[in-house]
Amino acid sequence: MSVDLRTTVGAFALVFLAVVGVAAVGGVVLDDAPPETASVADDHWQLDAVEPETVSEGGEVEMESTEPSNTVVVHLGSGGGGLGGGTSILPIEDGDSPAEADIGSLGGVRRGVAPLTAALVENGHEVRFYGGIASGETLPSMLSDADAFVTTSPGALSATDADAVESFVDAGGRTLVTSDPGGAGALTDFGSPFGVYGEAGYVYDMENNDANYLSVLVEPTGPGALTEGVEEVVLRGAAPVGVADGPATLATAETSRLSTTREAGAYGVAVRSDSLAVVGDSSFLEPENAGRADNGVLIGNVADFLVTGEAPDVSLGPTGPGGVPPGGAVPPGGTTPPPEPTDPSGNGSDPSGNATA
Amino acid sequence: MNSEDPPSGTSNEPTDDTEATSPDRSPTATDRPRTPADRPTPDDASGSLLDRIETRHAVGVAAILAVAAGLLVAPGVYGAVTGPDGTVAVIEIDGTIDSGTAQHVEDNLRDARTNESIEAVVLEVDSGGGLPAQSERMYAAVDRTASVMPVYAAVDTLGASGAYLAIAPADRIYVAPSAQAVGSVGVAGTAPAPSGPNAGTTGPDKAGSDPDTQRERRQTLANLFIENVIEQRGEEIELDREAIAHADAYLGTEAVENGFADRFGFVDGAVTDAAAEAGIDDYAVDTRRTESPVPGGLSLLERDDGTVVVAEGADDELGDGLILAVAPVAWDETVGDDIVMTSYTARLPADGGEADAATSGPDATNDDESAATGDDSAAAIDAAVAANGGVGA
Repeated sequence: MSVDLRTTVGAFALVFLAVVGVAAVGGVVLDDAPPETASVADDHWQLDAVEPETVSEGGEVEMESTEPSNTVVVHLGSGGGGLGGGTSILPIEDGDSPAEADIGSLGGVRRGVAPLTAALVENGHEVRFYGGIASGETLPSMLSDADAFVTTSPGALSATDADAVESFVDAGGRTLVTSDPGGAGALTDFGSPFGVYGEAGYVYDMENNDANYLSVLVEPTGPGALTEGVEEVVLRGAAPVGVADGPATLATAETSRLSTTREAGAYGVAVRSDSLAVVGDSSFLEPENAGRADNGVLIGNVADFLVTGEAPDVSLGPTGPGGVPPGGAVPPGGTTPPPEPTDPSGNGSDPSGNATA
Repeated sequence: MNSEDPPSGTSNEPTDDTEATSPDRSPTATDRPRTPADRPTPDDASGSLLDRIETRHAVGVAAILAVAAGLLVAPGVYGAVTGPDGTVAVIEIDGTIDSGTAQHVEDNLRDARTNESIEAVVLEVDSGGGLPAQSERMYAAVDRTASVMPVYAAVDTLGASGAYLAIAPADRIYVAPSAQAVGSVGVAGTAPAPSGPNAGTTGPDKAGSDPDTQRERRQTLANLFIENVIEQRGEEIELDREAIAHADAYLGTEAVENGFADRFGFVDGAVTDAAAEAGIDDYAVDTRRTESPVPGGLSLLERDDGTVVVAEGADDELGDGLILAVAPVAWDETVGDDIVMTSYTARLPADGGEADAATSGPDATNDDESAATGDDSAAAIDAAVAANGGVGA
């Protein structure tokens, strides 16, 4: 029996090893690893390949004008409501519910034009903000003392205020109006007496832009005071504008398209009609954008434009129709009242003008 | 054993009484080898008879065993002969693309590559996109799988944005003719906005980078998307890069025309074609649906529209501070309707809402949607808050 057992165990072991051995050898021979997969191409993932082209940074706002002190009235729409066109506000601006900042306000809507106002004040000019009809002083009253006017939201002007600005422009008061996409109707309403109009839609450029299709690059169409030294300006969201008699001051590249038609072409985004300058974008005035490309140069030129020239011969209701705002004109003013009836705007706008006179 | 000799056997028979008296014992196999060796002559005599019985038994037993063994093996053989030659895995890509979606697709595609029975894959797609990186993860898994077996995709209603990125490496894309959003190659998020001072953060960019950087990074994500699509389907798509970057979402009929998709079809047709491409006439279909477990630890929320959703944590939607590869049609279900993709520059509710600096292409947002929303200005503030809040720590 012992012999049998040994044989049996031996046979078992032999057969067992043979089976396992065959399995192992067979496994090695027959086993095919999971198919070799191709690695995923990643050349086009390198930052160099996908990083958008951007414009230069670091521009500065500089004024060349040496004019004596001028007064510039700045209108920005109604802070929280109109939001000042393309100039951004920060959520902390309302003050009621400071969401992020806890060390004070950044100035809300007014920061949107800070580079321009800072340059004006730095060069000895006075800046006065007009906050809408709810504010203490009326716009006609402010304009009567002003040399220039800026609004980033023409649609937010009341009818009375718009009339006053119109008279102001007529009288030679330098005025900058910026109007963003969506404000075509308001701009046309305001600018039509001067041949200025806005077109619906916005301009975008998929090829030549500053990291976004809306950030179009615009160039001067010819020499001019506003565009002196300007080669390229970036606008974050430009509305096409036009003027009846003449070319645009600034126009987009030929690769840009109009949103409403998708037609490619150069679209005018800034025009000038005598003392009125209109830009179809207000974002270029923002602190974040003032240093991009030649935006700073443009802002400096705009500031020079606002303060250069003679004081407007403006006649607005509250200051009397005589066209001489200061009260000093009043004493000889026995002569002043008579012209009043001949001036419809002065007559119609506010009879209190006589009272002050 | 058949050579037994009856005469010699009979002559020897009387000599061995012991063997003759135990005829029943001799048929055992163990005795047989010994018999000739120990007792050649007498054994032949008794063995001839016993062997005859023994052979008959052995044959019978062998036959029975053979039948049994055959019956045991037969099903397997039958199955091997008649069963499928391979399997086509149908993997679902459904809903908002997040980590769960990417895991599901990546796991199943890995299984398809390692499981020898799976010869082809069909992606069943109905998604408007989601997170770009997760979409990219699926893109890589599909690309890898497509290098070893046919991978076809079939789009129902939505195969847009991140979902289109995921299926771009597929060998063939089928769309329903009435598919409503194929393509939408771009990303979207809240518009760039400056962030205010915040003493709660340790650096000025902790609350959000500056608008220029936000803008550039958004465009970088969009460019990655566009380059991926061009890498995979540049030869099929008949539009130039600029047209692709417009980020329009096409109908199925348009997609087949412009090369965003290859042909009309549905999952069944894709399965049939994928099997044929893989060379398997007789195939099984293994459908891998997105798992939608409802773990006990999560609370259920009932939405306004009556649907019950699982509230994972506080929010079941993707963070609105992220830049998303989402088609406009899927925006609401992705980030909720609190955040409207709105404008950085055009905020006048009257006819505003056209311009949208947040998106990477003019078609990436639904113009009507933005314009129709009366509270654009409020949404703008929301968006700004979200942008400033950014992604937490």
